Amino acid sequence: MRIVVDYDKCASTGMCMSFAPEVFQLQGDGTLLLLDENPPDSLREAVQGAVDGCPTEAITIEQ
Amino acid sequence: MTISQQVSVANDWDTEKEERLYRSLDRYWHPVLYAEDLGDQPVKVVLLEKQIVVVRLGGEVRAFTDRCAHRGTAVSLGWVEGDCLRCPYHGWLYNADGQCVEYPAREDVAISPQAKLVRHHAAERNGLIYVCMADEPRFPIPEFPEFTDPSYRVISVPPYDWKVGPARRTENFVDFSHFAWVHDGVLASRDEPVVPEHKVVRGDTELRTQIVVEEPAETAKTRSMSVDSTQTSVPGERNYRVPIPFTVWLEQKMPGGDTFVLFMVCLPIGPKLSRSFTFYARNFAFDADDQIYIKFQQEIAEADRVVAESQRPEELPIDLREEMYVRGADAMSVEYRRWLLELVKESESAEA
Repeated sequence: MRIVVDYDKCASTGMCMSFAPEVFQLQGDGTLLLLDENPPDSLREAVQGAVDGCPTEAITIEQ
Repeated sequence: MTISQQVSVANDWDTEKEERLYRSLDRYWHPVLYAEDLGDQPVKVVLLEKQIVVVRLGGEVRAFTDRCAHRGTAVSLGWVEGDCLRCPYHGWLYNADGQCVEYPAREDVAISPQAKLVRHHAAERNGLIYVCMADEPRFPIPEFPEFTDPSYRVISVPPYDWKVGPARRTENFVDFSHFAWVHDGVLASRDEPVVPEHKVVRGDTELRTQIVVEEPAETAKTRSMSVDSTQTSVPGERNYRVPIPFTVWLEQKMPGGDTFVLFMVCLPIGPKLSRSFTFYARNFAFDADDQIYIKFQQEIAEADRVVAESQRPEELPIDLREEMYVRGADAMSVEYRRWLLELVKESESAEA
């Protein structure tokens, strides 16, 4: 899977990081760093949680 | 008396981030008192921990730092003479620009151009006295058209203070998912806690959204609004505007056409103390007892106060990561906090 982040929508709430810290990391200045743009399927559930839980709907999964 | 009433509990949530928001607040217009409470004599108010005197001079509302240039006395202890303000200590007389125009102790001594009060922006609008302590207010004073609309009857709720920051207080007003819990049976029901879909839009100076909620019919009837008495709940269309930073304009329309508007604006007295001013405008039941509506608002505010004052930190943490959000339900909070954070950064870069 491939993760796409809309950085205009991202409000740096950190909700994605709470689901999948292996993939999403908020920097000290609040900007989102995508640690793994193509995470393994073993993280699919966690990443889907990040997608569903993002309050600004900034994250999508492209196959 | 309980322990919590006896002691002020320091907490680990007193954060630098909380203070960053507070330090940016002098750029905005803030309400300091209801206009009807400013008569022909000066009144002392506290805005952002600064003592301010507001006074009507020559038909205009003026605001100054409440400190005589001579010996630092509070000129709010003085009085109005003509179009001037007299300090009670040695009788220095200040004109509407704040310039001293008379030293009574030596009338033949030239008056220094530095002998003046520190003046701030002041305005009377929407039934309120507003003050801004910065050179240029960041946003205009919010609109409240119903205040002068004859098709509405407008009443004011007595001001009340909460031990929270002004953004916490404002956010509480537009936190849609708490209605079912804190105001169960009054504004919503715990049996239906789901927040309806709504889209939050950012304008030039305000956030806007529209939300349709089922309001308990008994509540609407209490307020004499037109409702079908056979129903247990009635759909109410709520339109929200949130002029930044601390104002909420809420219009609620019932199916029969009865509409009320709540206009709430919050004064930051200090970093953890806020005063709310609220107007209730209704286009129905002009003959009804106004106290019904005032009491209703007071009961809602009191229920909110208890939970709001328990929040830590007492002001919004502008680092959004410090709290959690539910997609859809918390959209207004996310956008509100995001905007405040942008403004804090804007303020800090302007100062740098």
